Amino acid sequence: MSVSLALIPIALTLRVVMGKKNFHNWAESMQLKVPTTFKNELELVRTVRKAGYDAEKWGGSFKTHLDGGQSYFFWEQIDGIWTAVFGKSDSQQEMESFMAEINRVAGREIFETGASLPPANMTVRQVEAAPTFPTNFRDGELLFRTLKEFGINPVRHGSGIVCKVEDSVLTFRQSGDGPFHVEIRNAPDLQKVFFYLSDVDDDYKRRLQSMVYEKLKARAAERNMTVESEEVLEDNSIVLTLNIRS
Amino acid sequence: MSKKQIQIRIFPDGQIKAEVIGIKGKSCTAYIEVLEQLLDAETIDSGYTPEYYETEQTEILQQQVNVLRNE
Repeated sequence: MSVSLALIPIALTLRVVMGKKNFHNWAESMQLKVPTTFKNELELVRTVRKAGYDAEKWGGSFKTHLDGGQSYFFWEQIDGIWTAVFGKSDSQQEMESFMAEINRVAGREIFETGASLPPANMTVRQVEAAPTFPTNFRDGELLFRTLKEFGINPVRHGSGIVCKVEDSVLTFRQSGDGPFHVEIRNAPDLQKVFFYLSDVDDDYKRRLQSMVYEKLKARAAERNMTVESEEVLEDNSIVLTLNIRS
Repeated sequence: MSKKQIQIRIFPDGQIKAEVIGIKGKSCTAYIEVLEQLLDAETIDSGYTPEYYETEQTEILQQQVNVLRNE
């Protein structure tokens, strides 16, 4: 052995932990988006690092840790604008102090709100008007197929996907090649929607596993690599050993 | 001579682990890009295994010998 790697398919990001036991964490991931005036990715990364924070590339977005690494948020390009996407439960004081520091280091107003967030109660009200949550999905085609196989009737609206689950309307939106967000309207029982989305998340990942496996076999053959062995383990992971011809 | 192989494990949650086997020294890192292309994936973590360092150590020793010879 000489090198070992951990990878994630570009169709996936590891933003949210779904599953029936994680409803509370998911509810807390409800988002607060603050647009910036960063001109490009390079300026964002340089400024954030200069301010003493990290900006780690993370599945089509960037991840920055706050509070000495205790919490984090993501930077996403939404409609061409680099936007800080905080969680509903993030400390407002921490966010404000972060934004003020970024403005100071940049020497101009990076955050359009003038380094201040709306009052906490107002933020929650605004967010609750159209609650938006992060997802792990990055491949629109795969998401569409997964939703369709679930027996609901997804409809494309521009780059978004809309579907109805019982009385709730779910709208999946993506910016660039970043992860999809889901906007949930008319959800009398948010937990029920979360359970539904957890099942979609599981199924999406299973389909992705199978897609990656099929692609790998086809591409390996194209590169003149042969399959030495393959097996499915107890945890349903697929192990393939390929021979490299030098 | 050991076989040159890549072992890939695809988990049901979409994550992937891969190991390049039997390729010594820095040349094994060329396979990081190959794997990303084969799998349509991005590397989120990587590490060298003892075999890599064994070979690296040999290369460093050789460099030290060359330096001494030139002095």
